[in-house]
Parts: sequence; structure tokens; C-alpha cells
Amino acid sequence: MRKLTVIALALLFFTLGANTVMAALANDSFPVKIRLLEYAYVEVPEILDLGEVDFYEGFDKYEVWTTIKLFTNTNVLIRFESAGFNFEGEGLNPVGYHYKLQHYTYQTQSFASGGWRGGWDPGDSLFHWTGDVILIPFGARINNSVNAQNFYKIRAGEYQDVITLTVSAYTK
Amino acid sequence: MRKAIIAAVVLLFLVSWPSLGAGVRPLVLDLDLTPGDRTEFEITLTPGTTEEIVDLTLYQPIQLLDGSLNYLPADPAGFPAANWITLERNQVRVIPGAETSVKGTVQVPFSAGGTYVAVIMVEPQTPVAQQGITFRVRYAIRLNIRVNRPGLIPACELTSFELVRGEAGEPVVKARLRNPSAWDYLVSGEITIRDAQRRLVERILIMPGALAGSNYTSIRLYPGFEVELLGTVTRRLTPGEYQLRGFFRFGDRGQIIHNEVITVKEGDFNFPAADAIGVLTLEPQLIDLKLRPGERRSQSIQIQSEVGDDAYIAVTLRDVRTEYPYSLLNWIELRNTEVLLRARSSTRIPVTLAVPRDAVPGSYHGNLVFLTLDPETGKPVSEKVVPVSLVIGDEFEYEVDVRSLAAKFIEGEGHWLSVDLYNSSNVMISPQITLVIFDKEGNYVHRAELNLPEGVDRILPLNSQQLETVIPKLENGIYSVELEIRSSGKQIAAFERSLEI
Repeated sequence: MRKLTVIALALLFFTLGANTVMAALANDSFPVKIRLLEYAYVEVPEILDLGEVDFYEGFDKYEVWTTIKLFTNTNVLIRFESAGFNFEGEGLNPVGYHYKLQHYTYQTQSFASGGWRGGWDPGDSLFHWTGDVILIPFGARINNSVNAQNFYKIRAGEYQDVITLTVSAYTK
Repeated sequence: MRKAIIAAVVLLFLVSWPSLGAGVRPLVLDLDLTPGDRTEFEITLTPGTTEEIVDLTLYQPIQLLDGSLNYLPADPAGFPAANWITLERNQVRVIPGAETSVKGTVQVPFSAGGTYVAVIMVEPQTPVAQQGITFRVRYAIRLNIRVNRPGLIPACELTSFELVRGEAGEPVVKARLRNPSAWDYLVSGEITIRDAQRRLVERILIMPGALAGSNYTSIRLYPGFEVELLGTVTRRLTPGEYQLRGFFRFGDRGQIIHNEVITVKEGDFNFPAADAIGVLTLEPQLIDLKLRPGERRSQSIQIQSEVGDDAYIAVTLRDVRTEYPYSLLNWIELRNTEVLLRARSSTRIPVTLAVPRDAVPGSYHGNLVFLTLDPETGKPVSEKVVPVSLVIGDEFEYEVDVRSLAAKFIEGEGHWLSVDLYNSSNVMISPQITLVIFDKEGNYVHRAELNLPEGVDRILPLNSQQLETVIPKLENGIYSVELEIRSSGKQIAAFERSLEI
């Protein structure tokens, strides 16, 4: 008798469980949620070099261009910041623009060596997700304010600069 | 020739490719927590082509007056969240072919509440080249920590409001908003200028410098910070008295309204001469169409020169705002995008709208922008905009929300009432609001009709707009307000709100 009761109860629970499962399956759709996380990386050249600059040849533009590749699945902000060339006098004279030996350009924006552009505001540094690799032309050229009257203020030699690109996601 | 060769050599040999450094994911971590919570997060560093040492450092955001953010290394003394965030390692080695993970924890104290934004700067160590320009890429992972604490509500203060001279002596409206609350939110502003006879002179959007050129009109204001919104008055202000009414929206439910009377004297401001701003008139001034899916329609816009010089006109398309889901820009075809407009003559620009066959019912919007270009530099000197609206379908489900209701007393006029109405439906509306005010005992006090401000006749999908009116002065107290929203004469919604005077 006791065995029969256990079997009856087991059957009852099985039936109830099966009905619940069947009821759930009868509704033939169920939600699948997925959230893609923001991810980006940037491909930059190891080095960008203007080579030898000979002011004896003139002061016209010496320039070099490259393309930075941005791979992103979201809108991103990029801040471009130059460490500067660290030659004597750089940054000391705010009106002596020739102390900013180099000028950098990306898209429609530009900044001088030792300066920065964009970064945290959408006005000049927002790159929208396009579904494709974003190509950012980047140029470096000798500042066109360096001329026959001031070139001697910068000592000849080898100089190096570091451009830091800070990438962050943009969310309104 | 020699320089060209040098340039070519430079281009070919002096760019060393590529440098694929370590990447990072995710770039944003949104953490919704309550006081006392402890949560873990994980940052994954994806490898580059070479082995790299990567530093992870905590930074804090500083919001500048122009709305932009700068990040500084976190100072635990002035930035409490720096004490809650810990990383298991601050420096890791990332080897090609394998991802590296760094775990972190956030331990929220019981006293915390509101928004806290911190940044984990992920910075690969890059050797600096002996000569030339070295590139370094770092990633700012933003931690948006929102600590939900009952009783914390967003608040905003208008700390200054003035009409000042801009760089060229032009009149500029300048307003500052401060966030004294614990939450971050979006802010935006609009100014209406009326002359002494209360005639509309100009309506201008004011926005922080950080948004210039971005096609965004609102900016996020972080707790404890202040932003400055600017807007240039383009219409000539002849000497006299003007009323400046400011409408500022903050968050989902907040608004500030402000009224200021100013007197403009001769010589206070400079205004560009008509020739200098490249005057032209456009006909029609807006395009409103109703089409079926798959239909095409062409229309011409006449451009009339009002000045004595030839001018180049560039025609471009601009969205209502960035990433607007009801944009029709992809459906507009332009045959000419640049024309030479002879002095005091006119020309026509054909515009074709081609609606895709699978377009769903709703209203779609965009702008045709006519830029007058400087003949010497080619840079735009002025612009005129023709809004384009297209309706597809006949039956629509209207959905609106009263985001906020505010009142401001204006001496000699009464109480200026302002309702911020959000259109969440997929079609534009032309709303009117009937508002009935009751006192706390339920007695009838006043009835008023609120309308869209002059110069505005619609609210586009997913946009907000204030409707306003002036009523006789109300006594101090708390009132109950019933609002009935109608569009094209048909009721589309009804709400009840309270109003504190």
C-alpha cells in the first residue's frame, strides 16, 4: 500500500512537472539577450620620420603622412598629445611660434609639437562607428612659421617626439 | 623637382609599419550598485605582435567649463572613489598569442550615493625611438559607478546668465549651469530673444564649446562641476530693450526657466554687414512631403542672391542630430552639390527623395544646408538650413510624456508656465496643451492653453520641446495640474502633475 502511494505521488509530480515544461515549450519563442562590449584598438606606425631637414634648401613644407587605422565597434574619442621635442627654448616663449618646430594634422584638426588636440569632447575628436576600419590620415610637417629670420634659434641636431593617442569610448 | 623626390622618398621609407600594440576590452564598465555592495570586474588585454609591459593606473575626470573632460591621476584625498577601486595588478606582461586578464573590485562604502566616474588608464610601455616621432596608444577604460540611494534627486543651478561681446564684438548669450547633486545628467539650453513689443527676434540654441561642430546639442554634466553654454545672436539688435528667456533642460525630468530684461545701446555690439554674411534667400524654406514606400519625388529649391558679388554655394545634408533613427538623409539625392551664384541672380537646386520599398510608417527628417563659401579660401562664411520632413502612412500611435512643468514669475506679466513635452512616438506631432490648475483643496484656480513657441510648429520623433504661456499671478502654494495634450485637434494623452509656486 505504502509502495503504491509513493508510486502514485511520483507519477503525480512527474505529470505536473511535464505539464509545466510542455506549457513553457508550447510558447514557441523565448528571448535571447546578448550585449556586445565596447572594444577598440588602434594600429599606428612604429615610427614616423621626416628624415633630414635642410633649411638651406628652403623653408617650404617638409612633410610626411601616414594612416592610423582604428578598429572599433563603438563611437570612440581619441586625444592626440605630443610630448614635444625638448629643444632649448621650447615652450618658453609663447609668441615665438617657431619654437613649435613641428605641426601635426589629422582629419581637419591640427596641433603643434608639445601640444594636444581633442580627447574628451565630441567636437574635434569623435570617431563614429562605421562598420568598417576607420582610416585616419595623420601628417607631420615643419611649421610654416620657421623661416630665414628665425630658423637659427633652434640648434641643429636629432630630435624625437612621442605622440600619445588616448582612446576612450564615447557614450552620451 | 628635387623637393618632390625628397617628399616621395620620405613617404616611402620613413614610415615604419605596423605597430599593433595590445588592445583592451571592455572600454566601458557600467556598475549599478547600492551602498555597501562589493563587485568584481575583469579587464582583458588582447595581445599585439610583440611582448609588451602594460601599466594600469587609476585616473579621475575633471570637467572643464567648455564641457570637455580632462583626466588626471586619481588623488584619493579629493576623489573618494579612488579608495574603493582596487586592481589585482598594476602592471602586466602581455605575450603574443594569449590574452591576459586583470581582475578588479569595487567596494562601495555605506555612505556613498550618486554617480562616480573613474578611469583605468591602460598604457603599454613603448620604447622611444632615437629619432623621429614615436606613437604610443593608451586606452581609457571608463568605470561608471552609479550608487542608488533613496532620496537623491538630480538638481541643477543656473549660476549666471548674461549677454556679452564675443571675440569680434558680436552679441553672445552666456549661461552657466552647475550640478550640485550627486547624479550626472544631460543638459541643454535654448534662448528666446524678444523686443520691447514682445515680438520674436531670434531663437538660439546655446551649447558648450565642446559640442561645437558635433551636431549634438546636449552635454553630460557631472556632479560638482559647472559648464558654460554659449550662443551667438545673429540678428541685428537695434538699441532698445530686449527680453531674454532661457529654457534649460536637465536630466529626464528637470527644467530651469529664466527671464532677463537687457538694454542694448548704440555701439554695444558689432554686427556683420549684409555683404559679409553672404545674404541669400531660399524658396521654399522647408520641405514637407507625404509619400508611399517605393515612391520618388523631385522638388527644386530656388536660391536668390541678395548681394552684389558672385558666391559659391555648397549644398550638404545634415541630420537632425547625430545618430538620429528617423533620418531620411540616405533617401535624398542631390544632382548638384556646388553652384556658382551670380550677383543678384537666382538658380535652382533639384532635390529628389527616393523612399525605399521597405520603409515603415512614421515621419522622417533631415536638413539641407546651403553654405556660402568664401571665394578666396573656400571656407564657409554663412549657412542657411531647409528642414525636410517626410510622412509615410496614415495611422499612427501617438505617445508623449510630460517631462517637467515649471513656473516663473515675471513682473508686470504674471506667471510664465513651461511644459517640457517629449514625443516618444514614431511620427512628428503639432501639440497644444490645455492645462487646468486646482489648489490643494481641489478648487478650480485657472485654465490655460499652452502652445509651441513662435517659429516652432512641430516636435519631431524622439525630441522634446517646451510649450509655454503666461497666466495671472498665482499665490504661493502647491497646486494640482491636469494636462490634456492634443495634436491636430485630437487628444493624444492626459497627465496629472503637481506645481509648486
